[in-house]
Amino acid sequence: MNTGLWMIPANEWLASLEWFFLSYFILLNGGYIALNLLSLVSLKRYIDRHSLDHLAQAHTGFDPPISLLVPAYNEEATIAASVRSLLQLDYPEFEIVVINDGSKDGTLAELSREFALQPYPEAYRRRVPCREIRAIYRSTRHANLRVIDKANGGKADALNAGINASRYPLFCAVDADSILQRDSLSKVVQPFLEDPRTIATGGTIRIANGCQISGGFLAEVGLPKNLLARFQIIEYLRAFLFGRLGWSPLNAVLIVSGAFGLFRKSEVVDAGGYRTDTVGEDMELIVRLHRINRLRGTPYRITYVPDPICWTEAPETLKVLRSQRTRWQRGLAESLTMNWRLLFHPRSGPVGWLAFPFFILFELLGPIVEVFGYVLMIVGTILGMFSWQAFQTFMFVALTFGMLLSVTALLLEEMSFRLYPKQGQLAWLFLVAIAENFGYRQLVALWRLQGMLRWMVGATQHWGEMTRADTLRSDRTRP
Amino acid sequence: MLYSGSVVFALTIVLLVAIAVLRYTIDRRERLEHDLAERWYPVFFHAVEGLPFEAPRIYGRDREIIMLAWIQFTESIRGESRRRLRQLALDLQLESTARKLLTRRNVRLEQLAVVALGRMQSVAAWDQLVALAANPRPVLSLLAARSLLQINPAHAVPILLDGLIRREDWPLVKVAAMLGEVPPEVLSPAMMIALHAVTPQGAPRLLSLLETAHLGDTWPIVAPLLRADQPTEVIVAALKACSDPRAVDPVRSLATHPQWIVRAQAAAALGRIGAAEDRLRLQAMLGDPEWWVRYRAGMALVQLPFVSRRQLTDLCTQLGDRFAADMLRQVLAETAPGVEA
Repeated sequence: MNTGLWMIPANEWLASLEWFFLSYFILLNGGYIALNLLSLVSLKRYIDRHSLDHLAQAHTGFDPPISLLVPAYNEEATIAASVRSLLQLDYPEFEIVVINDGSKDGTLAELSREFALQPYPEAYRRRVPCREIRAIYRSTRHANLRVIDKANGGKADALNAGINASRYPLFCAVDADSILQRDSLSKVVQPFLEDPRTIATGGTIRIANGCQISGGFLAEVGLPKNLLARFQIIEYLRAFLFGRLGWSPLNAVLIVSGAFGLFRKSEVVDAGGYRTDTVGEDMELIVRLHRINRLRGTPYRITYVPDPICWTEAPETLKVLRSQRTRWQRGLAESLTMNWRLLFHPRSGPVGWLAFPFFILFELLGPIVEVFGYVLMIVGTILGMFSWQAFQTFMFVALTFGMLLSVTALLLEEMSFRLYPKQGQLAWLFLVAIAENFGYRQLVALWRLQGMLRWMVGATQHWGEMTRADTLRSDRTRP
Repeated sequence: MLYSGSVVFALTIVLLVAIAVLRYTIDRRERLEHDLAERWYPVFFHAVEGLPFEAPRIYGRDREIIMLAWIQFTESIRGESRRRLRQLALDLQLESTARKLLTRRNVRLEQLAVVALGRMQSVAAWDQLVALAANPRPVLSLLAARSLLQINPAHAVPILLDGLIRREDWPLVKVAAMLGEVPPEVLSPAMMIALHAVTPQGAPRLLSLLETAHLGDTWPIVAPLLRADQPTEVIVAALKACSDPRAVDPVRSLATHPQWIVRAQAAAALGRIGAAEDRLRLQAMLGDPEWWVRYRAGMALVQLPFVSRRQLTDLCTQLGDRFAADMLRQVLAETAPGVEA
């Protein structure tokens, strides 16, 4: 006798689905709230510990030297200003390696003109695979600046070329369009000094739109006029202040942003460098480092530094934002599937037993459930399968949880760095934290779903080209 | 479900209010700090100059803020002026306030008190600070060690060096910065004692500080460490600290060590202390399978006073090994005159 699933009445199916979505939302938000609490404790501890950091601290010559790797693709308009600002970083010993990844514009010519480049007969060593190196140049004005000109191979390939050319034991991957704080390197290197097991650190990335940039550095924090960029401020606060800070004490940080991350070079070389077959090379590397070290049983630390040390430009158009988010989602899917052995491995610790499943359940599959849940509730209500009251309740719970999380991120920001000092700015952020739950988050979920679908069908995606905001460009190209 | 949604909504509103209150509280505190600093900085100036002044009355928790302002003010002050500021702190009974703060279970206040007691050179707090220097929290313990150095450098240096050897969570950078403030006549004897007593595990960290310590003749300490049977880290640290020509023979023997990191440092050391006969040895090292050994050998060749750049340029064309020639070309380009450092 067939008593299969098909025999279950439709209303029971609907009830089960309703329960599924409800349980998922509770689990999702419960997870985030738990992360939030962890972040709260970590942040308080961090702030207390560093409360006297503003007192003068001398560099001693014992600070480990750092190689800054700056991959550049068609960055003609901004590359010279970016490099000039990097040259002014406050750190005793560092080198800058710009990797021109087969740009089609005048990136190389611009660098050559601005920094008086000369061909340099470097005994290049290929420790991680990368595409053909055409030439290596050295600035005759700044001995610590070299430029690698190579065949186009994508950001990961460019970083691999930079790793091969780098001299120092620590390397810092920096996006060419990032704006760093003058003391960024001093801050991000701290975990390496405090704990020799540290193999990677990342800092908080903030939105530069609306800020005043002067001489390549951030002069004054401001809010962007563009609403999309404002939404992203709250998103970044959520992503960094509890998305990453919460995992850090468990040594389970799975993402160090590609815009600014510091790595122990030997570890990355041993791991084979950046993978070129993923669009999420930054996250994939971190997950792989976890997998290799956890499964080998090697003690290691991957740490998150909550200080805002890097500012980046957020997309201000739906088209660019959509492209970015689909790429991120695809990168997430690739990073997790490429390192699936970490999941529930007996030696994988909190990374494999907590962070990895969390990312699969809520970050990877989240958009599917979220979009499907919204569509089902809307369609089901229109068709009369759900009562209007059930719809209202569902939406109310989903939206209020979203608001709670956004507002908590704002609270963490207010407790710690208070980068937006004006009352008006805070009031705007309040509004944005509430408003982003009405349409923006759902839209992002939809794009992420598209990213998932692209990953499933294996569509190709390359360097994310971005239209830059004029405010930053005009200032940053100033001599 | 509706109920839980309402709770979450209420919680969101509570958080919004909490943020507003927090903003108000912090703003108020910052205003207070600013006001107090404005009131007290003239007092500090008068104290520094040795002029008469009338200190304003201090209320309750203002003491912590004044203490922080005092610490900030002392940052750039040295000599007699600092002594006067110390006296002012004692007159204001900030020392007893700081010692009380040490017993509070608040990390921020504890750290503040530790720094203040160091700046005040509080002998009375010595034992408390010694205990805190052994605290498992690295930031607090380092601050305590620094304060001990400020109170009595001669007694504090051995504590600091002991901590440096034992505690991996004490960054070498920070300890070096602290020791940089200690007069050489105080640091050197303590370093010598520590170096004689050090175990192989602690040697690398201690040897790294040789430069900071401005020690005289370190050869007797370094010599026994320049042996192939020592742990790699010890040999590397000893090679880095090696600047005595008497070390040339042991260094030469380490140039063929199985560990590339030792060979690289041996090459670098030969660049500093090598003789004319080391040219061929370094030339051979240009063909080492490890890039860093080739690089250090190339750099050492450029450094050797017996070898001219012209000779090295000619050598590039004579070398049969392409990797060796490439490296020599790079090193010559890197050290070419006219390139800004």
